[in-house]
Amino acid sequence: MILTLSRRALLAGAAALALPMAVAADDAHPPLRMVTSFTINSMDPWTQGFWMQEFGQAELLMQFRDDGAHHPWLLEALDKPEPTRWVMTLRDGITFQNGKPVDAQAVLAAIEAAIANSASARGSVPEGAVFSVTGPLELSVTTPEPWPELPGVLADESVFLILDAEAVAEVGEDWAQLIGAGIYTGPYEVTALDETRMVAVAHEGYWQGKPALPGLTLAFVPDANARILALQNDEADIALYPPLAARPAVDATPGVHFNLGALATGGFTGFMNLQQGLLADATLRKAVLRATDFREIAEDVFRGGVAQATSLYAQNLPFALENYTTDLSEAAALLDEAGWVPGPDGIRRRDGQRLALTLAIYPQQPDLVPLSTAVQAQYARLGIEANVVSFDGINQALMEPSNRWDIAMVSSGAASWGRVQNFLNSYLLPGGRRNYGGYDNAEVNALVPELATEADPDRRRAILHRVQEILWEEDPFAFSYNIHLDRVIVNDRYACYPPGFALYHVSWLTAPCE
Amino acid sequence: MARALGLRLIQGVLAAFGASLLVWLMLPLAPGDPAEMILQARRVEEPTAAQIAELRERFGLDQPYWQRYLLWLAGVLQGDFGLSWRTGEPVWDGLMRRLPATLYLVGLSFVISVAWSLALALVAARWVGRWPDRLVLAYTRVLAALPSFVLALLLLQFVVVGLGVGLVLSGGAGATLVFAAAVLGIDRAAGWTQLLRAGLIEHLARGPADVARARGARPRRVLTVYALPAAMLPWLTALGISLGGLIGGAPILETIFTWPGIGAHVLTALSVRDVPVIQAFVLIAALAYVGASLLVDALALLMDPRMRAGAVR
Amino acid sequence: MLMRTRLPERTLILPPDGLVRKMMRHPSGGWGLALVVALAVVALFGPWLAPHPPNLPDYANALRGPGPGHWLGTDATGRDQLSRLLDGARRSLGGAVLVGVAITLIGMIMGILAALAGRWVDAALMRFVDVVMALPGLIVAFAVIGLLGPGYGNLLIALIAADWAYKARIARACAFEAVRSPAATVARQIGVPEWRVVLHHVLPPVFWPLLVLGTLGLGGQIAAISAFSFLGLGVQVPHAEWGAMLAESRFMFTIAPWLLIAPAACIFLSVLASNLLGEALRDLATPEGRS
Repeated sequence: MILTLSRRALLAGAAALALPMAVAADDAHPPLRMVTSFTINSMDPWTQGFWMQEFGQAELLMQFRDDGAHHPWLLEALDKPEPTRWVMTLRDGITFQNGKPVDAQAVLAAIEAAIANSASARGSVPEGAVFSVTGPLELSVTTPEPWPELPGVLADESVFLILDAEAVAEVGEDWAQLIGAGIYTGPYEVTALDETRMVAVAHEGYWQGKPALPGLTLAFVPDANARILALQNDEADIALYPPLAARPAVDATPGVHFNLGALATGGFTGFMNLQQGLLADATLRKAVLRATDFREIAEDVFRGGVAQATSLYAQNLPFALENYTTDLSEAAALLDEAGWVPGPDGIRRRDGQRLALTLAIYPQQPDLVPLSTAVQAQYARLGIEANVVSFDGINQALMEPSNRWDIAMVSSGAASWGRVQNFLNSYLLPGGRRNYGGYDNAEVNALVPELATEADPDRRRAILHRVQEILWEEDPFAFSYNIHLDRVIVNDRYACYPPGFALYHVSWLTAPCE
Repeated sequence: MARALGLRLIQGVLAAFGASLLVWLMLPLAPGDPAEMILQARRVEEPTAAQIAELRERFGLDQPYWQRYLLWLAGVLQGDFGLSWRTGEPVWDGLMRRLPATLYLVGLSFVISVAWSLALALVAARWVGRWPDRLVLAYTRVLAALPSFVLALLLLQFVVVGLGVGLVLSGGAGATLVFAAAVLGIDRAAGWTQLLRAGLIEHLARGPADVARARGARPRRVLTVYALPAAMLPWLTALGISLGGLIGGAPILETIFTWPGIGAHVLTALSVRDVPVIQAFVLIAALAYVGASLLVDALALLMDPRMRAGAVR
Repeated sequence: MLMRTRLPERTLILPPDGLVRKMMRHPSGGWGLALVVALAVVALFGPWLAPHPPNLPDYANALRGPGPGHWLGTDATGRDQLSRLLDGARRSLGGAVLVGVAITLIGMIMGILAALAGRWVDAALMRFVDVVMALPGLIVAFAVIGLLGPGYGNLLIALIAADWAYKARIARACAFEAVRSPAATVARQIGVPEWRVVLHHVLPPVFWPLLVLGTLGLGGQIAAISAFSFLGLGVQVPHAEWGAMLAESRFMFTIAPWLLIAPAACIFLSVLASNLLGEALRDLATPEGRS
């Protein structure tokens, strides 16, 4: 049969083939294959929805970027005509993936549904706040007191996802029905979700343009080693949550790269226990801070895999001070002043009591092992003995008075999505849910509530500066051992992929390097 | 005979439920507030008081332990194992979705280890004391001492990634199953080989085999016709007993090979202390274990007419 | 791992005289004994033998290959691997021995109690044993850790919970016969107090089978401790333990293979040693083996 084909027929056939191929060339990239350690359990937007924002399915009204500021995302503008009123103006022409328009009515419905169903949304809205539609694309929110944190709240992935609330309400609790229902606005729409992976395909009508990839697969692989091996075996392009311990090996392996990104908003934070043991003494606490070698932690212990802490907050945040300095002689002087003198074994003593501290870490953060070991050695240089204990379920363990510890090392975000109020409220105020060490400083107790309703940027900055000063100079309690850097492992094709800032891993422009 | 088996079945099921009671008795020892643990399992870092109250209500955490156990038991008898603390979905659904993957893994590894240990034991018994026997013995000693997770790591690194055979992310299919099953099976086969070899050697020295040899039967025939059937029986019983090792070894291998089975599911549950899932797993594993050993007993009865007359053990 | 090693239930095993001498003549016993003694020395004196502090980082010397100063190389934070292995031996091996001793004691006490008391105490204890034995050992261990949370102490409790029941059953079988043995009956008749009867006529025939069983199970306990620690459910950081060291260094396989080979070899040798010793003890103690 092949023999009977004329040349002309062959040419015609080739031309017919060439046409779809030319179209396909636009789509030349294969779908992105990512591996992550956390499983997305369901399409439930109220408990699992925040993942959708991270991988390009859902979007928010504002976006927190690595300049430390909040930028309009689905919004055109966010204005504050009066101290107690914000006006949100939506972009024109945005639709949900299912084609319904994203207008002020729809956004209000999404916000109201979130407040009704999501505890974190409920907790983020101050009492008496009223959201209302004031135009086809305009919403207003009025509050009894000023609400300075609104831009951060709108940029927080676990608060207000912009979704088709009507479609969500229709499915009741049968969340699987939301697969393929197009309830979000992002560039990639979920088409499959099971225990092992999520699949999303490009949403052709995406408001910013045509997504760069035909789609993406996100595989859930809790084992970090398996994630790295998957990249080496060309089964994935990008592996999230790589342990820093893997960096030397990845650097030495051809075809895979350990990419570091911008400063994150948190790090390993130390919390001192003021209620039991020696750290009730502020002089000792000050000495401990000055004995901490922040440079060594960032550069030697983690080999640049984390950033050096220069204050409680990451350097790129507009309100961050640069007040951390390691000063061993000052630390020694403070210890001498407090009556702690070196004993025969090098450990300081006072009235026969050894200067021994207990560092608390927890198993879920393997990077705390090298950190605690390093800190142990650093404190030993000054004659402070440090022992490490590991608590499972650290948050509860630290609040439990029967557990003995002096400094807890916890990975926490002092300014997640640029929001500072949560951290200050729950970690520094008496009665706060995470006030592990029983901190109670009169000035801080007055400053933090003031900040919650303070609209003036200069006064806000002054308050935050003062808090950082108190925590270093006068009454230390919470301090950063380091600031995290975003990190990711990629293959050659995605060698130029920067780790997503504030967990925005996939945008409509994410594509292989060329 | 049927009565004896039935009695054992009832005993086994009672024992399994007794085990579930033991697990519940340990519950008060578990540290931490369950409501907070549930929220942590769901990665809710800053729960509100309302959230905690809602959970207490939903999972009945305010009731005394014995009441919760009775409620749980009543549910289980109706096929309802409660809701997972971590995901909020019915425990039964989560386990059943993952059951096939584990059954494939345990089933295949059982076949592999039976076949492998049978072959090795026959070789060893055929040439007792000579080099094939010594080689097999040395091999089983090495394998019995090598933890399966080390074997699995080596295989993943050098065969899957190094030689490019199979996938790291199995997703529940393909060659990865063979690797995981092989590791699990080969690991277990070491002990089973030693057992069968000892049995074969014992029966080779007994009367029937001697008579056959005297009549001029060839060594291979003596081994397979006279020694093997006799040695199989106690061996099968031992296999039934150590089947639990296969079930218990699955979580580690499933994790390393990213095999989406029950074991990996339960390890996740362990890491966040998802009690309802752990409960259900213990009960189901116990029942499976009871079932498997009963099956083996029944098989032994069928194979050995002498045992039918007497009581079962 | 944690495969319950079976013995014929009613075999009375008596202490063979000149145990060590016979052991040395046994084809594998000599090796097993020598290795076990060497490992015991390491486990007991490890911390003093260690050339460096096991948890002290030295960033300038991170990921050094084996060589002078660091005979087994250093890990990613520059800790000396030899020192960590020596320090970890206490937890890997000592823990296994602790578990073995605990289950032997529990088994003996429960078994003898059941045999002495008889009637409903016996029935209740043995039904309890049946319940626990309806579960595979590893499942029991997983359940206990699942409820108590990860940790070295909890791991040891879990392993004890997983493995005591079988020992209790064997002990009860042996004690049952010993309590009613002619020697014990005669002793009672001539007025020997009951506690002395137990001490002289019941304890030894219960103890030896359990010792053999315990030794046979030791390899399984060592493997289990390292496996659970490898999974992060056992020994917690920063303490050294062989399985935990494997888990910490698993990313380093390609660039620092010594970090995996050494702990894996330690686990392997220890399990091998206790298996060899256990086999030899079993051979010497069972009637066929003594011929």
